[in-house]
Amino acid sequence: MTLSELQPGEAATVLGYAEGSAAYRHQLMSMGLTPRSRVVLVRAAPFGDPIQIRVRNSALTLRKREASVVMIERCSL
Amino acid sequence: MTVQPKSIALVGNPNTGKTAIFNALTGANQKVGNWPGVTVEKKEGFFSLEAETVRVVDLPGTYSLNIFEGESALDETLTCNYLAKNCRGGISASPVGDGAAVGAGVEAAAQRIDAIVNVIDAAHLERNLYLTLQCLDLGVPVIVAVNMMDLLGQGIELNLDKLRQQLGCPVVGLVASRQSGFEQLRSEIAAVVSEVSGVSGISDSGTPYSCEPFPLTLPDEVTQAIDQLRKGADLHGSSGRDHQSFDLSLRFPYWQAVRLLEGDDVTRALSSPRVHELADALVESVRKALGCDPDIYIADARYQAIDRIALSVQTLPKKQKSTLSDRLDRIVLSRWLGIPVFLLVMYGLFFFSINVGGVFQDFFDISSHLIFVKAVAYGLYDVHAPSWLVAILAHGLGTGINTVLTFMPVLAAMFLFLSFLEDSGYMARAAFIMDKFMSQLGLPGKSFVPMIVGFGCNVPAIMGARTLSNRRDRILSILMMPFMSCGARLAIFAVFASAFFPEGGENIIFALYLIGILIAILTGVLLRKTLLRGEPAALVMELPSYHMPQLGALMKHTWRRLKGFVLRAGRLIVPICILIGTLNNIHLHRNETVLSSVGKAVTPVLSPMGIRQDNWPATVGLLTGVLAKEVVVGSLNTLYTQEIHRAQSKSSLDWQKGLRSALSSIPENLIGLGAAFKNPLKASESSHAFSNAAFGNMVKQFDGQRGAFAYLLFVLLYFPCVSTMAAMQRELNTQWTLLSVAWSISVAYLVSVVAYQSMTFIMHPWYSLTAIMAVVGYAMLLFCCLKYTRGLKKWLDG
Repeated sequence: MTLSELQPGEAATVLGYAEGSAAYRHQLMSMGLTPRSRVVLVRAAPFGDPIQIRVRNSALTLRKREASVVMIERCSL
Repeated sequence: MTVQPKSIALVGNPNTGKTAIFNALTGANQKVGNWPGVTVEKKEGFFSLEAETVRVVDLPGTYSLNIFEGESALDETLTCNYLAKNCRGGISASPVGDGAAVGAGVEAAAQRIDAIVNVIDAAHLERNLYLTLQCLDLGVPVIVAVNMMDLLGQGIELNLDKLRQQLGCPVVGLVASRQSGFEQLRSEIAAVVSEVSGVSGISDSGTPYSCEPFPLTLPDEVTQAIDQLRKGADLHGSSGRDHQSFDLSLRFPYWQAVRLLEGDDVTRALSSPRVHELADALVESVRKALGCDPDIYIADARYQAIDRIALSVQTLPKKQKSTLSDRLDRIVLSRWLGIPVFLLVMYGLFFFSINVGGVFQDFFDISSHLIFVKAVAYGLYDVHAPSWLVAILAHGLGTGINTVLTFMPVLAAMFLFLSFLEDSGYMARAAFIMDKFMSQLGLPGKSFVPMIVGFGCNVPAIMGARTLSNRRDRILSILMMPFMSCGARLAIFAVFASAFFPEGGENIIFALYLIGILIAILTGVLLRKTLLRGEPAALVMELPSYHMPQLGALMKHTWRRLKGFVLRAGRLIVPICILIGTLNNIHLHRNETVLSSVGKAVTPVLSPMGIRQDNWPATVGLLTGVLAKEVVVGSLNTLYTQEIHRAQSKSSLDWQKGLRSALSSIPENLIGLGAAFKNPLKASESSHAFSNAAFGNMVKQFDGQRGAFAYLLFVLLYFPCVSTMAAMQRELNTQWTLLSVAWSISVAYLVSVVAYQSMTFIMHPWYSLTAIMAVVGYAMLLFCCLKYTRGLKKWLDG
């Protein structure tokens, strides 16, 4: 599944990236979204998009559509 | 060769307290300007170390040193360019690099940096260390300054000695707000800087300087690719390179090889096309062998190393407490309260800048008018100066200065509030909340706040768009802003509403606001279909922890922005004021100034929108409105009462009275604040005295409600005022400003002609039909011009 499908309160492990913009991928990886890192979906914005995730103790916001290149696997909190 | 002062660069993630450390290091010895060609602040400072002066450059915050052209933010690009060009391992006189560098603002003379001070935030250790590892690769001594401020109260412990061992470079712990740790930082800098060669030395704390890249555990294929790229690049000779600057190593630098494989347009710009070919081939071979691009393995290896470091230096509390920021966000970003809180903050912003700032506006207006216009005119008449000179100096130059100064209080208040929002951490949250809404318009969430500001005044709105990092997003929102009906236009609407629409005037005004918004949206759609195709920049935004902003820092920031406006925008505002003010005060006959005869000549052009020839004062009003839209009310009042527009030049000059009325405007306006709190828009309606005679004449001259409405549509949409144009010119460039002017005049004419002709269709159907067809044809022509003119985009981007 992809990061855009995660629900608020759920945690996941990053598996890898689907084909897409190298710039976007680099941005996410430099913020710590590397393979095997753990993310928690904190909340969605009041209008439903973007989403706020916690990765390596920092709060990051991403648009769902763009975040769909991040392949993840759900895991327990 | 002259001896240059030693220089160090401050590098770090955004929101790490870098600027606070910069301020603490350099104190008042700062020079703040812009990077050449772009509106990103360049901050330089100096401090002395044992009789030696050290230059400190505070580079814009960034999360990584890799840049992807067209996708990376302007300020990050600057940092990466600067480091790539000025580090020891960098190429000083690259044959390909100089012209082809990525982004603007890199033409600055190369000035080697002797050390990097990498500021990291202890509360987000892992993410910050990513940039640290990249800095260590550069071959320049790195001092890591750990900002411990956010750590307090989180229960996280950090062993700095261990961090020093792990990184192999000096590490200093700082608490910027308590000024602690700076002595140590200074002595570390002194130790590095005194070691001229800087290759190997012993720092104060006994840590040897390492200019070696941090070792990463990479898959063999990637390591081999890096080696092959370095060898290959050396073979290609990187011809024409200045070998003297390569006294340390003649080999192709490690960091360049790594970054070419990761993808980075800054390093690409520094190397030859043959090296690019080699790099691309190696990326392809890694992808074939391992399944993924090398950038994934490199980033992964960096974070593996970081995880090891973090594990050994960081002790996390057993039970992680939720921080104050987390708890606040549970309210501020919640599904139900998020939007009301946001609206409340926006209301606060609007109220504070337009109304609280506006309290002082009359003071600046009256007093500067007294000094620069009245007093100058009085003095000149006293020495029997010719009237054209009075017109130029008093009514031109004086009015120009008066216009600039009048804007200052509102701008200052706006900048203060915006700085507060930025420094406190709410700005990122506002962008988070509005992103979905704004994406419907093809803009990022960040552009919403400046748009709202536009309803008060377009000038700070345009300057506020600076927070948008992507150039396309910035241009798009700036070109939409002039259609946000500002407070000055409301003054005109109010006069017309009471003259022509005694009942339901507020509905007319509301409709005008809506039409403005609609045209702004339309402008956005049109531009996205023609000149500014593409998507808004991808959103990867950190929500920083909340901070209580420090008043001193806020003031400093506000003052810098204000000074920037006055100095730069003044250069355009003053000359235009001189032109119009002079034309308006040079008399051809007793009753006619140059400007009014121009107005008479132009009036026939406006007849399709219902301005009759004998209503030329309406045209003149529009011409003077270019200065500032509130001026329209004053000129119409004068013209319709058939007064000669010979300002009170010969009346006696009463300093006492003038100054007293300027001063008393402050308490009077303060009293009015209470009412304004309930309805900030209502309060900005002007109390300009519009004489009864003028009222009567005006009602007679216009073609009733229809004519008045068409005129108001024109006023709403035509020409941004001089100050708006100046702000635009400063933030974008002259070409885009010209486009905006041409566009807004066209739209204004089009909309008001179509409106007037459809309202009067029955009276003269054929004429109306022709007029409408003509303007619609013109609109289509304009659209085709925007869409199909080759090179227009290039010309616009200069």
